[in-house]
Amino acid sequence: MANLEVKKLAKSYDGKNKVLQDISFSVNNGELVSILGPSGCGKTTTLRIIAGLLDETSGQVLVDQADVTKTPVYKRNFGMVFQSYALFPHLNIFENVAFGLKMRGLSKTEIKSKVEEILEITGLSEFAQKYPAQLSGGQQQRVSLARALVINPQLLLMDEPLSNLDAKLRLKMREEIRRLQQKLKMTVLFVTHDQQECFAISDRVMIMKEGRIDQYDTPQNIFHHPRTEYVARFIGYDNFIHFDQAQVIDNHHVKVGNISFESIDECEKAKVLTIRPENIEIVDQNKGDNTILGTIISNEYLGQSFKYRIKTELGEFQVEESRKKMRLVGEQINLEFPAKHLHALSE
Amino acid sequence: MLDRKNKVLTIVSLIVLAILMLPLVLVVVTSFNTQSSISLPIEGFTFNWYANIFQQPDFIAGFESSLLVALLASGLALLFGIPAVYALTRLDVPKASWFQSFFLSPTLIPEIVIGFALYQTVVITMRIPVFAGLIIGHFLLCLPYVIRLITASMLLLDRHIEEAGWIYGCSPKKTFFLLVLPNIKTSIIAAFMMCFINSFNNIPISLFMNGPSLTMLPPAILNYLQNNYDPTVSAISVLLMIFTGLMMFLVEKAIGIKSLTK
Amino acid sequence: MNKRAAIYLIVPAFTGVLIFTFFPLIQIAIPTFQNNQSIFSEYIRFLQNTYNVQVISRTFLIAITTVVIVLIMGLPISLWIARQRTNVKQVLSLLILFPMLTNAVVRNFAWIIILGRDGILNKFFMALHIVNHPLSILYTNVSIIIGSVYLFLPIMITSLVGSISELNIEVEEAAAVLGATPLKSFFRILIPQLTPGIFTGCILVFAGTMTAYTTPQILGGNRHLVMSTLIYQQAMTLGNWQSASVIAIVLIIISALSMWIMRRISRLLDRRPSLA
Repeated sequence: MANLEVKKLAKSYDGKNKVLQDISFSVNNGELVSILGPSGCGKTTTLRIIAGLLDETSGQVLVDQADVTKTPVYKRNFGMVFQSYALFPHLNIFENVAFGLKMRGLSKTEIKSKVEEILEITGLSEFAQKYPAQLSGGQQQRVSLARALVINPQLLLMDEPLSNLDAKLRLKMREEIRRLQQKLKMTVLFVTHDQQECFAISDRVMIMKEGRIDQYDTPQNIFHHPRTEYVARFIGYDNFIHFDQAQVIDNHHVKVGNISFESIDECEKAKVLTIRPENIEIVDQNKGDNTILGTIISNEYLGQSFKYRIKTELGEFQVEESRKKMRLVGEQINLEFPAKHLHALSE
Repeated sequence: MLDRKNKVLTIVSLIVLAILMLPLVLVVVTSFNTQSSISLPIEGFTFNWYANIFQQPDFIAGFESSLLVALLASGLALLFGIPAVYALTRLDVPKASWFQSFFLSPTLIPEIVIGFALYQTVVITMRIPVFAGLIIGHFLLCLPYVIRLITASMLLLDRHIEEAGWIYGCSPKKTFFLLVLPNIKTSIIAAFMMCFINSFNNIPISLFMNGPSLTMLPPAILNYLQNNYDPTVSAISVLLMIFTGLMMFLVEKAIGIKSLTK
Repeated sequence: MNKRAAIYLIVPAFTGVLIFTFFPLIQIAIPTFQNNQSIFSEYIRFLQNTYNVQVISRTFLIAITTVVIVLIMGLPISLWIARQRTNVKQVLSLLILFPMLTNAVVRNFAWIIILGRDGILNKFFMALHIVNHPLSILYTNVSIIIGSVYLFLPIMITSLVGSISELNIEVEEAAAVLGATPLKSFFRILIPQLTPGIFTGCILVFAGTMTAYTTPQILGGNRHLVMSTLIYQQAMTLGNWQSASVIAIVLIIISALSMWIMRRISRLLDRRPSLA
């Protein structure tokens, strides 16, 4: 496997609207990096340019320091797993997996031993003679993976590989992908719109917004220190308090309305405070700072906890609380935002 | 609800079905009549009229040339049509739907007009031999079937299959032959069959491209019918029906007959 | 690279259609507009001839009557076929497809046997003493219509079975639950949903009948010419190429125009909002 470096990639179809701009990042050898974002953010475009399926408008793609930007797709040595799996319907599983080796001119015996080995690893040996249409979605997914792994690609690209599977299988497959990736020390670029999925399997996560990279970091750092409101929303920070510079008291204190908030982050260049629903505490006494009075306007049972929407003078907040009994709509409660969970964001 | 169990609907449908089938059954019955005019009920049973078919040089030559023209025209339509469809469905051609309509436009021109206009231009003005003119006319008849059926199956075929081919080291040209063609095989056969049958059965175009040395089967039968009124026509009609049945059987075996009516 | 490849792939078929469809049409059209008096005088002269107008109106009459009969005959059986179990449906579709793929000469010839002076129908009528002399049905407008109906009914059925199969039967079940009788459901629920499919079928049949040659040739004889048989007669029997060209152009214009009008009506009648 190899490392990948992308430099100042940009893409525009009509010369005016930029679908991608200034995309620069690198993926280290043996690392699994996810690109996360909603549809239309440019994540699939980025992947397709790296694969060579789409021409870039400007920028470079380097694999092990070698510029492959102008190399035609069929001469790059990448593997790719498609959302639709894109198995060859007229070939059986053995032939599907053998396809890339055949194109590389390997001998029949070499092909046979390599294909059999990879079918063994992916648990597909018994399906070798079956055709794609005879397999379940999860099995097809595995064939798609086997077909990519068998050519020992420098880079494995995965375009929403799990989104056509049902929820249970999705969990199982993502574990399997992670296991194989670590076992074979693969360099993987993984595109997804599912936040949980990507945090679960990635070494690093790249969050994209409107054709740009918004944040590129480890899942832990992103989770605890989202850089922008956009990232925060994407990863489940549902509560936001906007403020302007006039409301900043000092570097860690902000006064919005007549409540003053303390945050662990620096507030001087920030614009918004944010906190996760499960970090807000419902308290009996209003101690003034970091606390706000509100009325419950809806309640929902989540299994482990209850979720409430609460109306306050600073807008609506979402709160998750583990408790035996559900609170009722209309009940007045005090919400406390602990300073250690209250983050200040600059965008 | 109106469904297959509704009695009125069933009776009406069976009557319509009988109207569709009965005339053809009558043709079969009259072909065995011993009388020399076509009438019912038949008076005796004979195969003479079948034997008579083979006494008609026009029928034999007509069958041969109709077969040849149908094969060549269908083959050419596939050869010209498939690449065009591939370009229109895969290569981001600007105004692709305009081209699509353009390729389907021969269906908007009455066949009799195509025959007439081609005869004037191709045979009279360009001095192209009648046989070539015939192929051209039947090619125009066939091309829309190829365009329509192959486009439908190209649109159903996952684009990513080709991309997967390229990713794994297959050049675009090779990908077309290794991965695209095998997966649209069914619609190619269906298109070929529709072309073949329609070309073989065509009259209006063939009518104009008749030379002294060139007769097509349907015009030959038409001609015979206008000059004689004996059960030979019934007999050759039966042979043509068997031919149709055989084609349908082959299609059913190869790809399932449903592919023809898509 | 894509652009070059696309050109190579499209040009052969494009040139073929251009040279052999459009160029010939232009070639026959140009002389018909090169009259000394005015560009349309050939057409005015053509339409001043009552015989020609008679042929045009006969062509129209036959086409419209055929469409109506084919639709009335085709709707119930299409519904019946579309709602059969899969294997029965397949067998029935084969039965419908068979005449469709059988040579038109054969199909029209069958009606000579039935409609002729010594045909089955006359024998049947005489035996029952419904008539005393054999009726002359063959070589009339009626026989052309019968032949055309027979020729195009399978096309209508195939087209309608396709559209009906795509309908969601739960819509009719909902109507039945709300108290609609089968007949009401047919007219109020089924037909409105089928409007586009019905018009597609009608346009196919109308255009087919307008331009068909074999049926009017076999079943119409020489005294009941329609436009297509008139073209052939003018061109090949009388050698009057100019006149044949005029009729050809008129036929193209009339059939294109009527298809366009029918498509407009279809769009007006289809009350479902279009997605485009």
